[in-house]
Amino acid sequence: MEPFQVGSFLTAGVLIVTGLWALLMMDNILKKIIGANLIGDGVNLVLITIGYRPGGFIPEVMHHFHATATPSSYSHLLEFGEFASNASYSLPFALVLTNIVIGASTLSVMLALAVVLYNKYHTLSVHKMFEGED
Amino acid sequence: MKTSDYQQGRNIIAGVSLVIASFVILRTLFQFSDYLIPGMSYLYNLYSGNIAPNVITVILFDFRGYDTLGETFILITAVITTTIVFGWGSLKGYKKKETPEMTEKSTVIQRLMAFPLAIFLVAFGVTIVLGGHISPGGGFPGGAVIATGYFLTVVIYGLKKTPLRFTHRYLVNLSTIGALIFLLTGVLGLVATTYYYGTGYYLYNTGVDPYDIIHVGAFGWDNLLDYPDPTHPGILPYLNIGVGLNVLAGLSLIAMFLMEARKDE
Amino acid sequence: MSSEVAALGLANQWGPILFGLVYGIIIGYKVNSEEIKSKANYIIVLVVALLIASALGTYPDYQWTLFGYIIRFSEAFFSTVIGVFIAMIIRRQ
Repeated sequence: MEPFQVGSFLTAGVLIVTGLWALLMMDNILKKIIGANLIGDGVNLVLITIGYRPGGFIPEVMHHFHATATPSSYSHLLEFGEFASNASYSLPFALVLTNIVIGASTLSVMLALAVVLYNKYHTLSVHKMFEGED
Repeated sequence: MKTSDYQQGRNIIAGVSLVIASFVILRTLFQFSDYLIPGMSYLYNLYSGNIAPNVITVILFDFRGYDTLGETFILITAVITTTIVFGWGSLKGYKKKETPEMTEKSTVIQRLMAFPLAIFLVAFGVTIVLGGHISPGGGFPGGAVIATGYFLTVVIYGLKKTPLRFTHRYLVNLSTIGALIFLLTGVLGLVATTYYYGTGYYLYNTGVDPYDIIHVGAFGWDNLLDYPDPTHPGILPYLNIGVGLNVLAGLSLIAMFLMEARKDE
Repeated sequence: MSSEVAALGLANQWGPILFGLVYGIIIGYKVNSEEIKSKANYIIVLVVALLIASALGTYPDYQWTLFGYIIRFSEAFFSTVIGVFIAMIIRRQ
């Protein structure tokens, strides 16, 4: 069984729960946006923790691993087999790398909408924004 | 009926359901130990050493190139949405007002050091982008570093007096050119595999030729797409260059729009 | 340097140098060069860029031989700074 990083998963859970709390219960729009960002950070932390392997090195082939390999011949896979059984799991890192840019994109759109709302209502409070619409 | 009357009961219900949801989330994350399987990562680690040393770049641009293609267009979509929300000509309204308080706030040392530091940040970001296949990094972090260098000068000198004076149109052109580099490199792989094999594969790595379809090196112009590099990453550095352009222009444009909106009230 | 790369007439280092210059010219094309007033700042920036580039060049495959010594040097960093300066010179004229 793979070793289990309890603290990292629990930190991710706390981040997600804090983000949900801010998203649901806070009145300020900026705090809601920060909460939405915190949820994304928690999800990223979960993915990074899944990629952990004890004693493994970074998923980057060192120089002594590929020194004899050429792209046209594939008779050196045994050398890479040693690398593959020691390196940490690399797929979650790639997922996180894409997730960060998507998080930045959604953050920019949310901030733009917040600016537009402030220009229209002259307040950031959701409670005051929809006060007269009952 | 006032809003605050039923607000209290709704808050209580929301709090209770949030407690239940957080319990479920924490318990699910704690039970993740049953599902920790490496998945495809072993195979990816095994084969990507033949293409480029950095496994994550190979996964990002070769095995899962479609995902990254979609992601560049997500960034462009976010830029377009921000542009639509703020309006294209918000810089024109800014130019009428003279608001020099940004430059008065920064000190002499900041004004002296920010521009050379921005040049160094841009150069470091380019180093990260161009070394994306051999060292940790790539187009996304490198482009973010370059955008940081631009945003440093905007913060110190102000949007009007910044020495790195990008315009909206220039940044939009850079962003779309970056995405087009990605698209057209994939089209080149499609054309080459169709010519040699009969079936076209979009985003095929023509410089590496992992399935020995187009016989790299048989003709002189076949390995034109091989990056001049001892590690033979094929088209990956070009995709990195395109994504770096896209990300630096997109993030700079978003930062510029948010900076202008502050003055726009 | 393998035979395929040699067929193009390109050494190992030319990719980072070429594309670093391209990136530097693209970004430096929008630089307003009135910001650096005295010429001494150019030399200081160049020397510091040389120092940072020699500190960054750690990858073993990119290396130059100079007077019998192997030096490692980040070509992309330095050529980007050179590209920014080239673009500033082009813009000034």
